[in-house]
Amino acid sequence: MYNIQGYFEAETVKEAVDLLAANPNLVVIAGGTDVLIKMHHGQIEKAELLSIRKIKSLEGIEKLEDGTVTIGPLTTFTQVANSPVIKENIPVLAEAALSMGGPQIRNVATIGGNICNGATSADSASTLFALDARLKLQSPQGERVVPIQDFYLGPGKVDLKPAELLTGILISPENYQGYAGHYIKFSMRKAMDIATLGVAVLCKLKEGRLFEDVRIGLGVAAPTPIRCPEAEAFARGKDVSRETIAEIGKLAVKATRARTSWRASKEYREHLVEELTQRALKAAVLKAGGGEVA
Amino acid sequence: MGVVSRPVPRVDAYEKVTGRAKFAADLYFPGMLYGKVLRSPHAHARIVKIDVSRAREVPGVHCVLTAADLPAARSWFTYLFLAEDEVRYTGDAVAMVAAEDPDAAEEALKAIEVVYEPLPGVFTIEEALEPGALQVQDYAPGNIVRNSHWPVRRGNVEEGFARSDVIIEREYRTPFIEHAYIEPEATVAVPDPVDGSVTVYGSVQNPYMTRRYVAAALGTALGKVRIIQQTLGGSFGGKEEVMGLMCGRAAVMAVKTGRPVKMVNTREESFVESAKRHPFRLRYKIGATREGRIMAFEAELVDEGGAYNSQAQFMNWRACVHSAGCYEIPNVKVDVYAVHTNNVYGGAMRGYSSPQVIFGQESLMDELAEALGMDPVELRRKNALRFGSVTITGQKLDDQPVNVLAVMERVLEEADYFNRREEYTRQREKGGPRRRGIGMAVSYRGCGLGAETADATGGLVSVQEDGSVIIRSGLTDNGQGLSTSHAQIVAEELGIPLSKVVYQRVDTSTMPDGGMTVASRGTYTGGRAMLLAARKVKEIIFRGAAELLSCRPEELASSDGLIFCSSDPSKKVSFEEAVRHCLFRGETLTQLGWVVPPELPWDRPTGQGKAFPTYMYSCVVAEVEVDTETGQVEVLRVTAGHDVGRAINPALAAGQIYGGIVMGMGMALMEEVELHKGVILNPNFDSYTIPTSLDMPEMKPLLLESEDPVGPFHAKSLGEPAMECVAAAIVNAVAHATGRRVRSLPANLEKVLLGKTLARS
Ligand SMILES: Cc1cc2nc3c(=O)[nH]c(=O)nc-3n(C[C@H](O)[C@H](O)[C@H](O)COP(=O)(O)OP(=O)(O)OC[C@H]3O[C@@H](n4cnc5c(N)ncnc54)[C@H](O)[C@@H]3O)c2cc1C
Repeated sequence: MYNIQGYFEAETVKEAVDLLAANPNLVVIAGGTDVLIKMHHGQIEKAELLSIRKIKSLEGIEKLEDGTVTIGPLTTFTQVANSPVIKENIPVLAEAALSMGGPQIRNVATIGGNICNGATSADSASTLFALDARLKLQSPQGERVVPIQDFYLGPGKVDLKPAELLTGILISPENYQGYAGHYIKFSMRKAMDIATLGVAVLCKLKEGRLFEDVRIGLGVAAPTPIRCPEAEAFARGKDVSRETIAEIGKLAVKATRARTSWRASKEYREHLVEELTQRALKAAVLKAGGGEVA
Repeated sequence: MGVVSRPVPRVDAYEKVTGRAKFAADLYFPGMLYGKVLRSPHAHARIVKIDVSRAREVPGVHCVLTAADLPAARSWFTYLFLAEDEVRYTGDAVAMVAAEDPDAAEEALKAIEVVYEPLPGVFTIEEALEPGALQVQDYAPGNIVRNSHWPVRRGNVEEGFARSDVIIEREYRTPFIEHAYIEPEATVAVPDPVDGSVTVYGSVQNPYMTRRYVAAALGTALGKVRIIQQTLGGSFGGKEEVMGLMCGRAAVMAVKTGRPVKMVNTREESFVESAKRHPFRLRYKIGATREGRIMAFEAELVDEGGAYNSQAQFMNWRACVHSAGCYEIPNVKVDVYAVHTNNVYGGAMRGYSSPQVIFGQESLMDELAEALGMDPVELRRKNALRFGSVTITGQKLDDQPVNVLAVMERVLEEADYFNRREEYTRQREKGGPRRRGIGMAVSYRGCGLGAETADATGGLVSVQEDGSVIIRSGLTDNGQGLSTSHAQIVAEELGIPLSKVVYQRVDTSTMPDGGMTVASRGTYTGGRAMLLAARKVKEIIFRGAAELLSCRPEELASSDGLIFCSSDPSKKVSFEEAVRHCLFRGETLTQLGWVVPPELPWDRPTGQGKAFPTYMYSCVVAEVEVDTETGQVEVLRVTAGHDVGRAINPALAAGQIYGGIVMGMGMALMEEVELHKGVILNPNFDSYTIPTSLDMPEMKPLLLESEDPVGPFHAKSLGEPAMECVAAAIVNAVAHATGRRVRSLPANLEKVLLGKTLARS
C-alpha cells in the first residue's frame, strides 16, 4: 500500500534540487497529505520520496519592507490561519486556510503542497488567484517567478520543471492593500470535505459606492482554478448596487468550464457560481466599508 | 436502586480512551501471515480462466488459492468464499493469498491472471423485475429473493378506498447506505497444529453466525471452530456476512499453511464487499375520510437485495409489520419483497428496514395531511394506536401501555413545536433565501426479535471465591455498551458494586449460541438472561447467608456488597463471606440464565398474528434551515423522545440517541453509495460523506420512562429506534421550509434546490 522504495531528506534548497536533478524519479513530499493518498490509491507506485520538511528557509510568513507578503511553501494551513501578518493584511487568506480539512490535516498540510498538487479544488488557490500571487521556483539552473495563473496547466498538472521546487509565494502590496475579501467554500458538509465550489472575491471601493476593482477567483468551476475577466472588467467603475452585483454573478458564469461530476452537475455548479459570487461580493463590500446590499 | 438507572461510566471506558483496547487488527502472533483477496472488476462476468502459477512464485508467498482448492466455495448461505465460474457483483472474490507481509501478498495478487467474459447485468429494481430479465441467481426465479415476500391482509382495501374522501398515491425511494463503522473488518485465524481446530479472533458482530461460515469453509464441525470477539469499532449490523467470509477465508489459509493468518480490509475493500442498507422503492395508496380517519392503506415495498441475500427473508417481515406506522387502520394490503441485482448486497443495518419504511410512511402521512388540508399532528392524533387498539397485523394492544400519543405530545411540547411551526410558516410567506422549517415523525417498534425467530438467549454468571463475578453472554458488545448494561443488571441484582463484575467477551466455545446481537435485543433480551442467571446465583447465596445469619432467605436483601436482614439491617454478612460459605459447602455459583421466548403465532399468507410481545414508541422533531439559493440544508435542532421503558444507563441511552440522530441525519441529507454498473464510485469517506462533528445539530434526547412488563428492570429496546424516524422528521421539516417535497433520499443540495438528482458519472 505504501511501497516506499527510498526516502531522502534535504536540509537546504540547493541540496534538494541537486538530489532532484540527480534522480528524476524522486517525488517531493511536504506534509504528505496528497502524496500518501496517491500512494494509497496506487497513482504513485514504488515511490522514492524526497522530504523537504527540514528545509527551514521554506517555512514562515513575512512582510517585506516594500509591503510584499511572502509565504514559505512549507507553511502549514494552521500557521497561515494564525499568522498575524496574514490576519492583518490579507484576512481572506486566513479564512480560506481555516476552511480547509479539519484541525489534524491543517496541522500537517502545507500551502505549497496545496498549490503544487494542482487540484482545482485547492482551498488556497482561488484566493491566491484573486490576489495575483506569484510563485518563486528554484531549480539547479536558477530561479524564476511566475504568476500563479500561469502555473496551473490542467487538472493535477502544474508548471514545475524537472528538478524544480516551489520556494516562495509572493503577494505584492498593490494586490491586497485597500482590498477587502471574502471566501466561500461550498461543500456538502462543514468540515473534512473537498469544495463543490470555492469562491474568493476581492474588492476595492471608491468612496464606498463605486467598484474600483473586483477580482473573482473560482475553484472547481473549471479544470483549474480560474479568474473571471469579463465579470471583473464589467465591475470596474460601476456603482455598488444589487443590479451591478447580479450582473457580475451572471458574467462570472461565462468564465467557467464546469463539468458534471458525482459531486454536482454542470447546471447546478453554474447556478452556484452565479449565486455565490454575488454572496461573496456582497460580503466583501461590507468588509470594504460599503453598505449592505440586500 | 443502586447501580441500575444511573449513568455509571462504561466498564470498557478506560481501556478505550487510553488506547489499550485490542481490536482485531492490533493482534500479532508469531509466524503470522497476511492474507489478501483478489476481487472482481466486473459486476457480472464468467470466469474463463484463472492462472495463479506466477503468483505462487512471488517470494514470501505461502499459499494462493482459488475456489477449486476449497472444501466448500459457498458459505452456509450462498455467499461465495471464492467464485467458481461466475462473479455476480464487484465484491466477489476469485482468489486469495497468504504471504509473509502485506506487500508480498499484494504482489502476488497482481501476478494472478484472470480472464473474464463480461456479461450484462441488472442494476436497478426495475431492471430486475422486467419480464425476461437476466437471472442473477438460478434459485431465484424472476429475481425475487427467496422467501422474501411478506404480505399483510386485513379488512378489504377496496371497500376502504370506496369509503375514503381523499386518496393519494405516492412513491418514495432510498439508496444503498454504508454503515461507516470506524473500524474496517479484521481477523486473525490461528490453527491448532495438534487437534486441527481453529481459533478465530475477529471484529465480528455475531460470533455464532461467523462460526457457521468458518466451519463451512473448512468442512469441519462447529465444535472445532472457536470464535472470539475482539473489541469492536462499530458494526451497526454490518459485520455479519462480510466477517463470515473473511474469517472463513483466513481459516482455510491458516489450516493450509499451518500459520496464523491475518486479514484486514482497507476502507475501499470494506465498502466494496460489505453489506449495505437495502434501498427501497416504497409505493403507497392511502385513503381517508374528510375528517382525517384513515380508511385504507395499500403498499408495495420492494427492496434491492443485491447479488446475494440472507437478510430480506427476515427483514421484510419486520417491514411488513411496521409498514403502516403506529396507526390503527381497518383495511390494509401490504406486499414486501426483495429483488436480486448485480449490485452489492443488502444486509442488516440499524433499524432493519424501519428507517426506510418510516421515511416513506411518515412522509406519506404529511402528504395526506396536506391533501386533507389538515395539520399533520392532528392527522396523527386521529389515527394513532391507543390502549386496546388492534395493529395492522391483528394484535390487540391491551396487555401493555401504548404510548404513541404520550410520547408524541411530550416531544412536541419539549420542542415547542406548534409555536415554531407557526412562526416558520409566517416567515416562509415573507420570502427570503433562508427558510426555516420544522417537521416531525412518530414510530413504534417491536422489541426484540418477535415472531421473526426464537428470541432465546443466555447469560452466564459465575461468582468467584473472592466475591468477584464473571459474566458472559452469547450477545456481543459492539460498542453500544452491552458489557456495561449487563454488568449493571448483575451488580444490581446481587447488590454488589459494579467494580466487582468482570465482563468477558464472547467466545463461542464457552457459551451456548444465543442468537445474534441484533434487533435491539442486547439489553431487552440479553439483559433478561443475565438477570435470570443472577437471580439463580443470588438464591443460592441468600440460602447460605440465611444460615450464617440464622434467618430465612426471604428476609434478606443486599446492597453495596452486604447481605442483611431487611427487618434488622444490623444482622449482616458480607457478600464474600456468604459466597465462601456456599462454595465451601460444595455449591456451584455458576449459573446459566436462559430466556425462552413466548409463543408468538403468525399466519404468513395474511400477515396476521402476534408480532412482538411489547413495543416501544418514538417521536422526533427536527428543525432545519434551507438556503433556497443553494439547496443547503442545515439541521438546527433535533428533539428526540423515546419510550425506553427504564433506562439501565441513562448516559448510554442518551449516547444511542445522539448517535441515532446523526446517523439519521446522514441518511436524510448526504449518504448514498453511488453505483455505476455495479461499481461503487465513492468507496471512501472523501467521497462518501457522513456528518462530521461540526454538522451536528443541537440535540435534545428525552428518555421517557414507562413500565415494560417484559424487559429487565422494565427496559425496552433503544439502539435502532434511536435512528429510525430521524430522516423522516428532517425531510418533513425540509418540506415545511420549502413547500417542496423530496421523495428520494438523500435530500442533498441539488435535490432540495432543483428537485433533481446529483449527476452520476
Ligand atoms: C483528510 C484530508 C482532507 C483534505 N481536505 C482538503 C481541503 O479541505 N481543501 C484542500 O484544498 N485540500 C484538502 N486536502 C488535500 C491536501 O491536504 C492539500 O492539498 C494539502 O495542502 C497538500 O499539502 P501537503 O504538504 O500535504 O502536500 P504533499 O502531499 O506533501 O504534496 C503535494 C504535491 O505537491 C508537491 N510538492 C509539495 N511541496 C512542494 C514544493 N515546495 N515544491 C514542489 N513540489 C511540492 C508534492 O510532490 C506533491 O505532488 C485534504 C487531504 C486529506 C487527506
